[in-house]
Amino acid sequence: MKIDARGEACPTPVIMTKKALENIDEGILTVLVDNFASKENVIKYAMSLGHSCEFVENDNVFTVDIAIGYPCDLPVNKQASNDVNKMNIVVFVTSDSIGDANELGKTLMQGFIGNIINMESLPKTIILVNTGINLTTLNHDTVTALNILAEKNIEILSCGACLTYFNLEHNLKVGEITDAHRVMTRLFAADKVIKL
Amino acid sequence: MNVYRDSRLEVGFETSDDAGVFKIDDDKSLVQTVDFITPVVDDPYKFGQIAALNSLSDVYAMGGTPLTAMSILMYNCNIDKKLIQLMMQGACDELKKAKCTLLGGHTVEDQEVKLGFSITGTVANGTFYKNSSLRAGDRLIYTKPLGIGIVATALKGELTTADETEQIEAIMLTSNAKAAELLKKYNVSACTDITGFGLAGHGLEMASGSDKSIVFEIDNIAFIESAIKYANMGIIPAGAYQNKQFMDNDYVFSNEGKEKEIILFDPQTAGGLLIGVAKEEAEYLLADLIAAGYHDSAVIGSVTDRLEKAVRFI
Repeated sequence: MKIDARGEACPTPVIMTKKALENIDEGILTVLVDNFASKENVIKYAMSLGHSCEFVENDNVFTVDIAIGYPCDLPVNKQASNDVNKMNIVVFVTSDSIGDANELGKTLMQGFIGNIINMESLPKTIILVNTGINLTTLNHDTVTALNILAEKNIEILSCGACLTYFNLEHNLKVGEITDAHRVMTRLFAADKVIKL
Repeated sequence: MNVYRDSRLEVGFETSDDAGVFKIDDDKSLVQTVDFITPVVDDPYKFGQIAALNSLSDVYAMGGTPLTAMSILMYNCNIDKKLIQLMMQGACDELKKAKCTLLGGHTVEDQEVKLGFSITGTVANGTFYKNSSLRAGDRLIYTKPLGIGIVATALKGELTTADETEQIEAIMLTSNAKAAELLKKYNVSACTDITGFGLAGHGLEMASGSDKSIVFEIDNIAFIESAIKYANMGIIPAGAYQNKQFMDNDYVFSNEGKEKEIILFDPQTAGGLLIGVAKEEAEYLLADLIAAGYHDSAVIGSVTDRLEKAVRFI
């Protein structure tokens, strides 16, 4: 969840944070503020409730991440900016099946895709190539699951050459068509690639 | 800056004092000040009272007697005129108690209400209190508990309980008039009222202006209880951080009560008087202040010859 308290004077950013936190049992609340005092105050408030916090500053905008309900502190230094919640995870799907290309493999894939939404840290991008594109075209269950992820601003990319190869370019039901260059750009920029 | 200076000027703006002092004849000087504030309480009548007391306080802090007032008012024309009337009535009732005559004023349209006064007072020849004349060895007395700005911020955020609201209003509605009157019986070297720069900021002005250092004893300072609670919650006005940042190189803080540090920088509306008094008289003045109703008065520090830092909190 994210709240934008830029342009607000004290104590409004804290009051906004307070209201947002009342509705969260577990997760990350991101608060944007545009001055030092508000940043300090939001952090003090979150700490007073026992939550852990970290912030980054960019062009006088402070992005404060408050972790609610996590037993461990978030990593605080830059080296550990592999903070799972900010990590750029890419899921690379090369088939419509896990393991051997049989019914079991397809059921497994459906289950795995359907469970991405339950992960603590969501991927930034899901790339589907080869028969993987069946999951964004023909398979109704995975299309539904991927649409939910797309609504959370997760990028869903289906390989254009593959769609053409299987003659499915008009059947894409979720996400965008992509090319080799974009696929490689996403894979190279990733902190972690999960291949299915 | 190129400014005209008459030889009769006694206190100008160089020492960041509460008011200017200008000699008008052989036995009298004028004390002049201007101040205005945004609403700190919900009740318009009480806000008017506080705005007037806040403005009058600068004259008291100089040892002067208020004589006349000019109002400065800003408000949005769409506001219910009744609120403005109540506000002005609150202010006028306080001016009346101070025997200070309202001569007129000026009103400007503005989004947020602001009210204040330019007060003119008089002081007998040479009897005014500067903020820059502390002596090494003096004790410092402060007459109100600290944390008004923080609790007022919590009030604005609708976080305060009824008791807390009542307490903060009572603190702001306490006039400094009687306290200032009491000082005249004592060997007082300097006086200021604590307002926008907080205790630390006004302490710094006093210390620097006097070329002395001030040592504040944290454990003797009265803090509003709820101010500590709200400070820990991050209900702190931006001004407190600005004050702290401004004097980061001028103070040291070496008390265990780290959570109280930011309250020392909290801007106070209608704050109390910070008084430098001869060491041997401090306890008597303190007793007088408490007896006069300033229950939170305390000896909170002392003045030393100039140390490396102008202000120390121990």
